[in-house]
Amino acid sequence: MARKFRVVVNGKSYEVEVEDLGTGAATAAPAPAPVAAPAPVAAAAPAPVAAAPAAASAPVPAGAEVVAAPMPGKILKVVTSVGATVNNGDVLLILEAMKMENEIMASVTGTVKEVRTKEGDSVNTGDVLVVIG
Amino acid sequence: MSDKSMAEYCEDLLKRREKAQAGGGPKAVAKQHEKGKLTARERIDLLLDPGSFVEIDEFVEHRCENFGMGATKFLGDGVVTGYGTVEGRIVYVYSQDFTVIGGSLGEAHAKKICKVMDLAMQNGYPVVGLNDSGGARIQEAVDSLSGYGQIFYRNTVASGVVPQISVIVGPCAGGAVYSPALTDFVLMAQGSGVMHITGPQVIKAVTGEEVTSEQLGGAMTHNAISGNAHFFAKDERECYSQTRKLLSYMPSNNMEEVPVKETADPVERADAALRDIVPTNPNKGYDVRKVLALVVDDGDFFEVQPLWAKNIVTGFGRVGGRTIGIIANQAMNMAGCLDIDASDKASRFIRICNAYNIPIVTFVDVPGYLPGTAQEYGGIIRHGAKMLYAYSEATAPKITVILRKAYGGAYLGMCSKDLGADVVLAWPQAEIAVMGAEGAANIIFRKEIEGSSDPNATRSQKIEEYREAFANPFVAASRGFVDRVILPEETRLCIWQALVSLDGKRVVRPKRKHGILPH
Repeated sequence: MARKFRVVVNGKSYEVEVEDLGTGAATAAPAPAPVAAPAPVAAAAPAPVAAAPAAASAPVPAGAEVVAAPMPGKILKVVTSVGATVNNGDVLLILEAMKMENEIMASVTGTVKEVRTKEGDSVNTGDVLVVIG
Repeated sequence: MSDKSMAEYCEDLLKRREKAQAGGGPKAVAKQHEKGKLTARERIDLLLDPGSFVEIDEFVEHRCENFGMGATKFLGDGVVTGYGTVEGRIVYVYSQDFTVIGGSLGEAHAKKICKVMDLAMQNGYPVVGLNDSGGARIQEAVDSLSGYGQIFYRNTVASGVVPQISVIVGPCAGGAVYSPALTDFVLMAQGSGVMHITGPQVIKAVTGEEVTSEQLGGAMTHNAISGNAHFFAKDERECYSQTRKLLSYMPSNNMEEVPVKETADPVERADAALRDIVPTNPNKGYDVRKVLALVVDDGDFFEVQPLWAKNIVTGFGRVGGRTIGIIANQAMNMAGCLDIDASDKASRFIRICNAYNIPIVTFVDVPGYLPGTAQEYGGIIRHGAKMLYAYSEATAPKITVILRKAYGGAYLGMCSKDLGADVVLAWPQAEIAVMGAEGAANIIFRKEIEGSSDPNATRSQKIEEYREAFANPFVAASRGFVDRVILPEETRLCIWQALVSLDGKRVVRPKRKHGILPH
């Protein structure tokens, strides 16, 4: 486990996803029904699961591109919506962090499948904000 | 007396040359081409000026007799070495030949590489290595290992003496990856270049993780995720044009003057458009590369590591024809804050510039260091310290331009006067302070704000008061921390004037073996 945690720290925007995989299928799978989660996991595990917004940790469909929060902050504005066609570089939402309004942009061209956040939400590094298919 | 005529001797030589040129033979060459890869010699031709390549050691063969290797000998032993020119300037080069025993590295192969490295160091010219090798030649056992060690040793000794560039256009796995890692710049071609310590099969066997070779160590992986590579190329041809361009900015060695490229772009060019790029509202982002493009000669900014740690921009440009190394906070990415990766990226680039006496020009618009447990646990203290170290250590000319925000420790870290900046310029909306006006007012005037009948109005008033008093370049200028407050369009000329004034810069430091860089 310790070795995997170190990989997480170095791989910036991928860290939380990598960590989730490392904790094993047990924590990743039950995300839609968090109540069932504690059973197979050690005592310490439930805390981080509870801390993360349930929506952000839900599994992402295969082949979809995920836009994750690059740093902790507050969602100031959601510019895009489900079903919208976006191009690589289009602004999806505005994340207020470091007292700045940061434009979070699409990394691929596609259709917005999910928006997993709303205005006023506090997000952490790596939280999934938008899924583009 | 020999009974052979001169013509016969010459004929024999030509035959041998032809054999050496053939590499692994037509079948192996066809196979290489099928994979979309070029041969070792085709690559050299693309890298160097046409017809300039001078080959050495083309008749070297290995002397291994183990496991039937005695019957598998090829002239050149799987690597083509020599020198030639790039834009008329000499460059030493080695190019591994995958068509010969998989480009594997044995004793003779390594010796050839070491010979060009030694010559490059002795004569003061860059070394470019084109990597395409299956790895250690197992039949040669410890002789092969020794070969890698000899190369690592030379990479290290040559570091900061002559530019070393690694181009990855094939597999580069296991111990072999450490030679590129020890060099100044790594360029990778998508689809052919792959670097990893352990391959997909080993990873699957040990951890069960499934990953493709390209995902694990391809060009995009190392350019965007790991930060091991500095340039991404969509194909290998692009790699060679990038290498040529990169070399154009570098002096041939650490004693040579930085090269000058003539330009028709006058240093007095005052671009009024510079006033419209950086928003005066400190909460708004923008692309700092637009500023850089208007400042450097002909709008030509050559970005180094554009895909990794994008919150800081590093790269080369020229002003008045002279190379400068640029470090700039990127407000549109993660607010332009400093974090672990940004510190690693910038400090390494600063040290490369300093090693070759390339003037370091820093564009500052930084809100601070990124907060959070991931950063603290990851060691932002020691990583962030590298920036302070690299800037303070640098004796090359140091010019700093404060565009907008310069707060707290991050202000110091971005080559402030106190870290030895020779010339500090500031734009009129620059805010040089311990923190932003909002945060500062909330702390200093907390009691007044809390005790007010209208806390929000009092807060806004106090923020405005603080901004008026401190959030400007003139307090810093009154203490001499800023040398000149300039109009945005004066930036180019002011940098040029600073460069000229710093031509004769000499700094004497206490003698030591080397400092202890925080890692």
